[in-house]
Amino acid sequence: MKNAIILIIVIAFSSVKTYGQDSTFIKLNKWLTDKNFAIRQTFDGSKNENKPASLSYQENHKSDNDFLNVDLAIKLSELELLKNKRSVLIFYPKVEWHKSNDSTDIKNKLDGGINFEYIPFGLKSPNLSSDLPNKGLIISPWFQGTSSFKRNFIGGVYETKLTFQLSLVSNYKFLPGYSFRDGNDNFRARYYPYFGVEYNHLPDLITKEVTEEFSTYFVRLFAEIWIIPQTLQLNIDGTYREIVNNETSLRKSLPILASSIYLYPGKQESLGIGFEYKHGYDNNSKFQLVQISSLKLAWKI
Amino acid sequence: MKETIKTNVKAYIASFANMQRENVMDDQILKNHPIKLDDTKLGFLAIALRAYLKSIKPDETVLATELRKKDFDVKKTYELLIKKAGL
Repeated sequence: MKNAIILIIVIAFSSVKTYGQDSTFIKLNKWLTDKNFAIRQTFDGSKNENKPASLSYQENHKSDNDFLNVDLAIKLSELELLKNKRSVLIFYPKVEWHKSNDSTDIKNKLDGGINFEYIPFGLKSPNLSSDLPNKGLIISPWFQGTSSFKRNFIGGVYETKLTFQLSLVSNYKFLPGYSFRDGNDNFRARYYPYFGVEYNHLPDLITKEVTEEFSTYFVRLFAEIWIIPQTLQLNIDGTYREIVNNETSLRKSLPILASSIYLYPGKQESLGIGFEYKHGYDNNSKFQLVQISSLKLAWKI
Repeated sequence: MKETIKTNVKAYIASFANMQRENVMDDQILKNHPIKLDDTKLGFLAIALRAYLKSIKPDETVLATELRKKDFDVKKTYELLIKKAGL
């Protein structure tokens, strides 16, 4: 594990060293930016919350395994509708690749789908002059839908996952989505709650030749805290998921908590190194109990 | 009029980001430090700026996908509205 840690740190800092120059990395970032692509860990409905794509070295505390993990998701161009309304509706296709050589959960999945985002109302905002238009709600809902059709190369099967969720946002003090700032106007924190339902169709999940098909509801809280502005970011992500009318061999209640910390050297927020600790029933690991520490090389545009 | 649009666009950005207006600078990217508006907030900001633009020029609009471009900064935002207002 020591060698892997050193390797990840060396790659991170050598990349950052060339970041300000006209490097291949910066050219690639610019090309992707010009095409309006986005790269993250996943676009599974938790996409707006700044989790970068990552190459990580992980230690599973529930077994003797140490393993490598790749989580890469690309959002392709967006189609925006309702262009003249007081609403926003956007559709976008995405492609994801998730690979892990954890011997207890070997993974190699290619995932495609179309997601949408719907903002039905405007948002009122404080401290605006009274002669400016400022209609909307103090706290407003917004909706996300995701579809995910995965080719699982390990079992040679296809998986389906559909998710629909509601969140809330506001510009007012202490409410969801509010930007907490310090005395120097540095951004320090924000949080979002989520409420949603999801449908899963998962062949060979627990038993070979048996397909687990089930729906869940979930509540989730995500918080992003910048301990050092623009440099050190802490993410806390907790989800309670419960299977509705459970006819599967899975547990009915599936809580999970993931905490991660990322260091972005050199006053940039595209490339960093991070550490994540995850404990609970992971929907990305067969809904089984996991307790995993990860060292991550992270990339985000 | 251009100066008024510039001032008002900065006022909207400052309000949505919870920043002091005097700390909102032309070269600051909407998504990055220090403004740090995420895609969700930029969607709502687009609705607000759309209403403002329509109060000047009813046939024009502002899109969320325009504001969400990675390198979109404060200057590009008010210039976009000035251009769409036909000034």
